[in-house]
Amino acid sequence: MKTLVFDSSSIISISEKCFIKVFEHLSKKAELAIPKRVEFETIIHPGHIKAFELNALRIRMALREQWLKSIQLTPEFLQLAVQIKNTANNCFGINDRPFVLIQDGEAETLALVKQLNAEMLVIDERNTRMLIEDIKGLQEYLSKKIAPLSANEKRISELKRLVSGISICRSSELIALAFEQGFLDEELEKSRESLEAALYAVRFSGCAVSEREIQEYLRKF
Amino acid sequence: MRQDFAKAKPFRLKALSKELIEEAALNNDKLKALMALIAYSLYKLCSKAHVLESPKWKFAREQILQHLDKGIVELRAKKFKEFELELQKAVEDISKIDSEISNYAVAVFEKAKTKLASTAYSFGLSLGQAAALTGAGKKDLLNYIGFTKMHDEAGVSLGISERLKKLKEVLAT
Repeated sequence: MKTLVFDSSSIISISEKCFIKVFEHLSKKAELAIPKRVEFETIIHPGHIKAFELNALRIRMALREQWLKSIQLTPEFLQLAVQIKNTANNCFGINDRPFVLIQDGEAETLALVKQLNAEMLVIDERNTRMLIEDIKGLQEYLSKKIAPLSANEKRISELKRLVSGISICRSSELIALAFEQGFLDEELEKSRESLEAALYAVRFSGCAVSEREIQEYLRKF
Repeated sequence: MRQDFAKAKPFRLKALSKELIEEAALNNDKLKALMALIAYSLYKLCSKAHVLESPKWKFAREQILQHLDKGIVELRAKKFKEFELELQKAVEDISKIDSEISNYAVAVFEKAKTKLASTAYSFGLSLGQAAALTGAGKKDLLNYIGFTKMHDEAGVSLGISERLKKLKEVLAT
């Protein structure tokens, strides 16, 4: 069976808009996994905060139903997570200091992709996605946004080696797939309008998908 | 910050919070982020008529000013831990007066965390890093930035159709 690994951002985007059942349908086609750190970020920590609790309970149900599986990193891959974090956070510098790019959650998610030899990473977060797919583009983007960044080419090469071969999709693609394959038929009529509303819903939940991308995709319908 | 608060200049406090969070984002400086959160919370409190008119405000304002004054003394002595402690006491006073007279269930300091984390995210920080800097919840931050146009600004490497095609290939094999 194929494996998809999720980070916190994509899990939150989907569950926040009541699309949690998408995980049930998808789990029949692939193993859906999260690292323990993501379980902590999406269930355990928010479970103590009233405003976040409902979403945490939805995700907990997905785990209980085994649509999602929370996986412990082995010591070897925990070490890899540390290596990924340290390398990523030393790729760029600003004012002679390293520019911090990722945190434990993102690093452990990337390490889990490697541990499980997963076919795909589902991540809505912009920087980690660009870090894997277009690190030079990320440097340009950050330099424009915050200040010119210096690049440590040795670390960039090392990071590319550590995260090579990772394919990425976002919750927007999962929702598009769910729509096309009828996973949402119980809750939404099959119309262009429904698809557009569902895609905007995940965008408004924080999925890093642009309006242009949504409109381009909708042209097919 | 102390002067702007004492002279009740809310928009100066707002501008200051933006400057501070930018510096905090640039240098991964949590202490500056805390100062930004305080400046933003004070801006929000100072711009509400029902807060300024409340009989409880005068006392709360004096308490906050006292902590800021003590903080300045500690900062001048380069006692950063003590400085942070005074800032935390100011936060406690902000939260107390806010819970006593605010009309909202979500506290002003909590809202400041999300608002300033989104500002840090707009400067290019990752979601996790922006949340960690201010202590905001990722869910709140995702919801906040989702309603902005930030995600229209970053370049597109692969669109929905291309990624969807890949996803279908993975699931089909």
